[in-house]
Amino acid sequence: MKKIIILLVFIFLSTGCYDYVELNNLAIIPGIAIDKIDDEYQVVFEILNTVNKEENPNEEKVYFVKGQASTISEAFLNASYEIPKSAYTAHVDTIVIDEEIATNNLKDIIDFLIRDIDVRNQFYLVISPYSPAEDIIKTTSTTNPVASTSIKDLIEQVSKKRNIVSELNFEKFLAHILGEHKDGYLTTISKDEDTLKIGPIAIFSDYKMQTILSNVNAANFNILNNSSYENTYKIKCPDNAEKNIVLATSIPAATETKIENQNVTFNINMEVKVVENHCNINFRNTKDLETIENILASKVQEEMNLLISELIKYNSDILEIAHQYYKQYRQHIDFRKLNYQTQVKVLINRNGLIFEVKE
Amino acid sequence: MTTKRQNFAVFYFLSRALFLGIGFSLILNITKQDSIIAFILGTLIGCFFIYLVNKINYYKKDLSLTEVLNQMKLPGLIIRIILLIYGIILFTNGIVFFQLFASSFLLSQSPLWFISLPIIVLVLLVSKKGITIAFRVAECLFPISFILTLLSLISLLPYNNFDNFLPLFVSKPWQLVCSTFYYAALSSAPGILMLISKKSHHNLKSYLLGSFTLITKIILILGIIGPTLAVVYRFPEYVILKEIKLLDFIEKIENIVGISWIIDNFVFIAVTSLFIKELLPTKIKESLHPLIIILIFIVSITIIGREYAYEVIMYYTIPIVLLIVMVTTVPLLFIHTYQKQKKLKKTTN
Repeated sequence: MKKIIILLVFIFLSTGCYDYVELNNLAIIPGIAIDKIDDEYQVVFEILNTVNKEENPNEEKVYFVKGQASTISEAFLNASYEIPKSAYTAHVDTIVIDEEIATNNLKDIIDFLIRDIDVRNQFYLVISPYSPAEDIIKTTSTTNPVASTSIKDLIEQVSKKRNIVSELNFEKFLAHILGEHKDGYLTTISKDEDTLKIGPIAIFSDYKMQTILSNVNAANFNILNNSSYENTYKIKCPDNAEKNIVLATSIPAATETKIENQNVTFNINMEVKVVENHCNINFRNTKDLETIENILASKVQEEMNLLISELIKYNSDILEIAHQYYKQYRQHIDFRKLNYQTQVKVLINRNGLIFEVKE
Repeated sequence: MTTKRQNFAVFYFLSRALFLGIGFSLILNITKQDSIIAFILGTLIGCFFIYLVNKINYYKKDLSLTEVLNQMKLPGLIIRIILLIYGIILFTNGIVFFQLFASSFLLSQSPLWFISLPIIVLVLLVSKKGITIAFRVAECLFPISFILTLLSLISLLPYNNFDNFLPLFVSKPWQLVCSTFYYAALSSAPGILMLISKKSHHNLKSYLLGSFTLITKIILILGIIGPTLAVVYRFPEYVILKEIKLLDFIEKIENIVGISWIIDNFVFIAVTSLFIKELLPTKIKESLHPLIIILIFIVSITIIGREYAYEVIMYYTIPIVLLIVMVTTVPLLFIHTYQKQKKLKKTTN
């Protein structure tokens, strides 16, 4: 009898039943939008609708609640008061913030999110520079009924195709922004009618967003960061400036960063294939190929120099040069004071299935 | 009588228990990526103390710790009081950090008494049954804890980025020395609790196994989240478990894998409770022991576990207390038992 009583006591005490919440009573939040409006934070929760689809086929897959307050935690609380269920943020995929927050209030957001027990830091933090974050999270369509999941999928897919986005999740972004010798970068998102458009990258200096890189700069940053998958280049024909040849990387470009004293050299190796040819080039002639390779190398070199100038201008060390310098020389340095050089080696290794099309 | 396997299991748990909420966080805060070096050096120092504890157990033969301390008269009484306070501090620490961990990640809505009451009831039951039951429970829990630890270590390996360890030797020499001794204290000082075992067994392999899991864990913490975040997080050893993704689709299993920390803590608390019981005056120990345990439980849920300031004090003072107790009591006990053994040998010759 004594053993049964002890067993019963343990059944009640050690099964965590005090914290038990019925699944139907959970408001699962996959996405959050945070805007700064009139000096107050406005938080919008995107909540999965768990209503039975067979009974209500026309019901939307998600619904939204809003909360506003002078502090981020109060705004979160006010939004959760709007839900008749328990707000569950462990499944957050995406958090969208507006430009104002990215520029002036990122520290507050980071401090709040990193303290939160439920939020897992594997979500994507994205910036909406051209429209309120609320509009982004509310952009749904029949093909993309849940905006936050669409954004996550877009980041993971587009990063492999267009190279203009950052694959950093919140935790990795934190490591950059809190790290001593590096700066962070985040993907931006915009809205074109009912379509979400991802990219390019916004760069930070400390906690402040500085600017948004152009698509070309974002793609080149990914090359220097060794996180590039596929790049396409349109260059003018050597014999006719009105016509072009299009080349694409056949394998991801590889960059080696060398730091020697005050000089930083980026050695970029690119293997490209011809995907479109409107020039009068004989692909049986190696000299013609070399000419194209040299033109592309100069073009990439020029673009890389422009990117580095922009990073220096905005004091954004997203390439972690100061960190690498510290690793090598154990000295703190302002990355802007170093000399930069880019060396590009291009190799055309494929020209498609044909040599040339007869004029 | 405890078996070799049981001693192995208990020692494994003891070497790891104080790293939940204290060890990793504190050492990472001092030496960042150099913590790996501190862990390795600390293991070497820890081995020395484990060797001394083993030797004390070997020399005292079938005598209990109380009997050995009684032989030492006044110094024995002083050591007994020091060890009793030490046991109470460790028990309080175990309960408080178990509450903190469980209420932070597993049972955020439950009141503190509800979280720690099952542990207290279990510990009282185990203490009543004696050392054999406690060690047998540890032996049964060992494979579960070890498999969960291995699972977490193996599944986290692919996320490791070795670039995060560099540059090494960024901390000052005194910081490295401090971290090394903190590691040695936190991993080997709970070994003093093994003096309650009457049977002598060599626990060095068990300590090395525990240290191996801890060193692997610190490598993974630094490799996955990097030194910057490792310092920021309160429980970095738990946070990295959130990364686990088995076969690319089994994820969010940190609460299951994290149970190994709960098991470590439970065995630690149970053995500490037996240690306190062993050191209490023989005549009143049966009645006084439950009272002390219940008193610690009440204090931990009403004062120490509730007020953050006390937690911070414990966080910083525990390694120092461990170091002091380790350095003062273990050598004295070793010298006494060694001399006794020598005398015994002379008389038998």
